[in-house]
Amino acid sequence: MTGRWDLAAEGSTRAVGLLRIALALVIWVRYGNEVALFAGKEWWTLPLAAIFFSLTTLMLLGVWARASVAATAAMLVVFYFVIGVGGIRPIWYGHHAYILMAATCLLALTPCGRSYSWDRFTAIRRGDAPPEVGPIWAQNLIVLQMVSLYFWTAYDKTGWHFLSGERLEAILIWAHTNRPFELFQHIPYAAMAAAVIVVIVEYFLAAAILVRRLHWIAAPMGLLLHASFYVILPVNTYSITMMVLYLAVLSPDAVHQFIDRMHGKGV
Amino acid sequence: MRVVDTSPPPLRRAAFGVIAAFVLFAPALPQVLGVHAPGFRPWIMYSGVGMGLLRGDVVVTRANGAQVLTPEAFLGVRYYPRTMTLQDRHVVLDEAALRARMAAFCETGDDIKSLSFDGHMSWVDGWRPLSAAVTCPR
Repeated sequence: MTGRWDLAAEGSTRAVGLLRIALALVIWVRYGNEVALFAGKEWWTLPLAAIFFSLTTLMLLGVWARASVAATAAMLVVFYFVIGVGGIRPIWYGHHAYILMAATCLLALTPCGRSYSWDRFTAIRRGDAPPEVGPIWAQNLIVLQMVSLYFWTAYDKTGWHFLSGERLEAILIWAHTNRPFELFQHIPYAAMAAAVIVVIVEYFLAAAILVRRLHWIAAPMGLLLHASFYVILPVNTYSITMMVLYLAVLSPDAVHQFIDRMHGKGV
Repeated sequence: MRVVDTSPPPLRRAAFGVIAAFVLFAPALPQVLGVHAPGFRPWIMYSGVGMGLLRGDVVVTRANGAQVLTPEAFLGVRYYPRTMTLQDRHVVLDEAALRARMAAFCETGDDIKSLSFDGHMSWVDGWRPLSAAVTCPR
């Protein structure tokens, strides 16, 4: 563990500011076309669309940032537990919906409006902008959510049913029958090798994202894992959500300094 | 990283502890103890897809000889649907379901004498052997 796990630790807010923007866009891509006016059939879809696009736009722009993120998180809780669990749209009860909801809920506990937000822009114009620094304990909770996901999904796969490649074979048949990638199914032991690699990587990531010294390998490995999932399996929301959550994994100050270097500052 | 105060507010300490415990250990309830509730998300990816799929050859015996079909050709599907449930028409969960699909296939041609399948069916624990044969009623 590093100093970032001290509950009193503070760090740059740029990472959570970027995460706020990224998650708002992921929420739009996931739900927007199902909530938009052209998709609605029932009367309640009209106020739902108004609430959805209002809250997510405020979240994206960082207007009353923490409040708008909290309100968006509350809306996603309703999406998951009422519309998803309630059976109105069962797919909204998927694991991708949960990780998006959980990440947004936890983001609401971070000072995600202190960077890259309308709130900051107006504060700068007033001349009373706070420094881009804030408590990072809630950002660490996002990391723990990723740890939990990696560990428990690897735990679920730890058995002959998956490590033999049999479950993966069936999933690939479902996803790729009569498609170009079907060829992969005919490579001997390919599914078994892929299954073993996935489980090893997921167990590794569950531990490595907690250790700053391992971030240099964990971050690219995690991004590559989710990029692979993105192009091989229809798990786009889940994959892209996990990829943007790596903003929370990296040291907040390292992200800040990287952005400074990108802008030619401090070189 | 700056540590501004070595003693964080008690509320923050409590919130972090409760949320961290929930995030880390709640999945154990469904995944280890079998306690299922909407609030306890199990991280079981793809638990609902890729099950009830056939792997093997379907042999269709016609008046002029035998024809070998892939499971997809037999089921009349080129691509499996993106959202697939166990109630889907492409899903074959047991021998009885396979026989029913074979009986329905018999109706697609007057010259079909019999069908047989010897292969596997996908399930949560991997591939399960499955075989069945029917003689068409004419």
